[in-house]
Amino acid sequence: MASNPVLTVERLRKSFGGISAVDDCTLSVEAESVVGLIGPNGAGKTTLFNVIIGMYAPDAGRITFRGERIDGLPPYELVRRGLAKTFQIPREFQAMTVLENLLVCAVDPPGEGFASSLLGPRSVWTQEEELERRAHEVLSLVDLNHLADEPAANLSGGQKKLLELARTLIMDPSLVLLDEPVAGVNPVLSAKLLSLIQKLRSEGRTFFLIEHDMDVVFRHCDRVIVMHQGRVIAEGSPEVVRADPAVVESYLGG
Amino acid sequence: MVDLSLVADISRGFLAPAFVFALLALALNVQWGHTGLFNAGIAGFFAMGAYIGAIFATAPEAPRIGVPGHAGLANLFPRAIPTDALVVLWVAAASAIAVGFLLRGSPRTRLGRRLRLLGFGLVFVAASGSVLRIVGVPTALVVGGLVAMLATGFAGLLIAIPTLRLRADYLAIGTLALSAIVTESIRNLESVTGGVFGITGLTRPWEFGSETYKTEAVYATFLGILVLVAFFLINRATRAPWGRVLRAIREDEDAALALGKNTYFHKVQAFVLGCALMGFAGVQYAVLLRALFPDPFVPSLTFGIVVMVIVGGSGSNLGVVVGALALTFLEYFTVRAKDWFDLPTALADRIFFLRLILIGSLLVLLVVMRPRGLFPEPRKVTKRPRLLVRGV
Repeated sequence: MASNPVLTVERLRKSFGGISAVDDCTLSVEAESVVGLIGPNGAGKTTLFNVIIGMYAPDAGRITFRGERIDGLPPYELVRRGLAKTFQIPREFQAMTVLENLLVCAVDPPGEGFASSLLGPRSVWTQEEELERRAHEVLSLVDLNHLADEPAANLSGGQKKLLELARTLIMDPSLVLLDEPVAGVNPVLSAKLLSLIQKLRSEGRTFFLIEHDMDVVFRHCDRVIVMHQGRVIAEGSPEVVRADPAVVESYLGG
Repeated sequence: MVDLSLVADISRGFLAPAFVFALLALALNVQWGHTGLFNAGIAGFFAMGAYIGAIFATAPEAPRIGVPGHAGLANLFPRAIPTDALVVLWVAAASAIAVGFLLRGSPRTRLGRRLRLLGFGLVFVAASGSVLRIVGVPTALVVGGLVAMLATGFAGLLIAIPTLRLRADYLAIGTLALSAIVTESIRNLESVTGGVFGITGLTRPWEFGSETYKTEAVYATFLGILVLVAFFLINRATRAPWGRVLRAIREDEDAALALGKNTYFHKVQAFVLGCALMGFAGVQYAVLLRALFPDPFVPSLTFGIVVMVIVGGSGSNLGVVVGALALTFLEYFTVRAKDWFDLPTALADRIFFLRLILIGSLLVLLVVMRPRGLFPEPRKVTKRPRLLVRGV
């Protein structure tokens, strides 16, 4: 277990009909680290992320984020507390511009209520301008600023992955769950994305990521957690996990 | 010299109904165009509003042999909007703003901001009430309009609460069912609605006796102003952060939820707002027709509005108003063409049927050539309005 955990998951269960996707899963993520989550297809990794972010209520177990219990809370409560998640397959809002994909993700901007949008007070639009400035900054960080006014549908597959990350950054989260952030991204872009993650981590954010590219996992993660059939079967530093016989058998292959 | 009977006919046959349909199209656009919530029961919400309006605007009629009579509430209200009520509204607005400003900088800043928001909202209400009083809209009609909005909004809420948690299809089924319940109730609740005998004897706020053209043109102008006000308000809310959340929900609801939006709450808001506006449009329709029967409130009315939204540009507030005007004009023009032009007999006799083919073909052509409508929705949702409220 991590010494200074930002997130802990204890004895978590989630099943769909007869399939138990997450089964008695216990793990923790240390603050200001990059933790990798690996495991064969169907191991329950994405389901675990979806339960953590509040898309599904767990059947049993507890989740703690920065010392507070969060299981059963809706996603918009978790986002307010500093938790964010990207999608494995990018789910950009297609008919919205790249910029607005970010703006809409800002946490509780003042104008989002019906009454204040209808009346249109000056303060709302002053804060909108500030938000737009921040969104442009985040977009520059992922090299998408030149496409700010393009509809998100026109982006390439890799750019959509970058947009996924950018959307979470505008929320200013302390923990980001990344579901396969570099799958399908070309090597140059992928290296850029990973160095960005390292930079953000050094600024105090924590990343918990699912990835199938073992080079990425073993080079960039401080700790690796291995799931198989809904449970954690191994965890530790990349070297320890790589040498674990159970991991070799179920996932890495001899 | 303008032909005055033509003015009356265009006002009554084209402009006034087009403006009522524009209100419906704006309402559907909030629900479907912006948020992706399909409403298959427009006719029901519209009918509900129309009958509530008619009952408020007429005196009750006792049943006679062969005629069921109907309920009426007009006698309960003074003709002119009472000045006292307006004074109360203005005072409430002023005090909310004043207290709101006094709380500025104090520990209760949040409450202060809310009060100022409320105050500016009340200024709008009080100003509208004063204008309506000056131009002479009867109290019964104003109250009827408000009650109709509340009632249809509440009906929308009742159907939204269970169905908006489910997949999109259930909302369509639920609204279709609600619409059937409303229209069947209207046919059968004879003592209230007059059943198939309907409610007759509504008067417009402005009647000019034998000068029909004046009566019609004035009412069409009034409806036009209502469309402008509704457009202004809806455009303001939808081209702001609130509308941006609605578009995100339309594009990918699960993603919007996972990214921290309270999708359910926003969906309920958008849906109820649309329903209330449909009820309001119903009241205007009842006054326009002067006599209300159950016949116009059929599912084809619903789909007529859907077509207006698609043709104009789903998601574009300007587009759907243009769509309503264009389709109502097409309908009107093809009916009147044989009176205006010297058509060959063979054509003149059949134009009533041929026009359906013409309208249908035009629609197909339009959807192929401009699939996103005449005025497609703007690429960027938010746009800073020119007129901003200061101090909130």
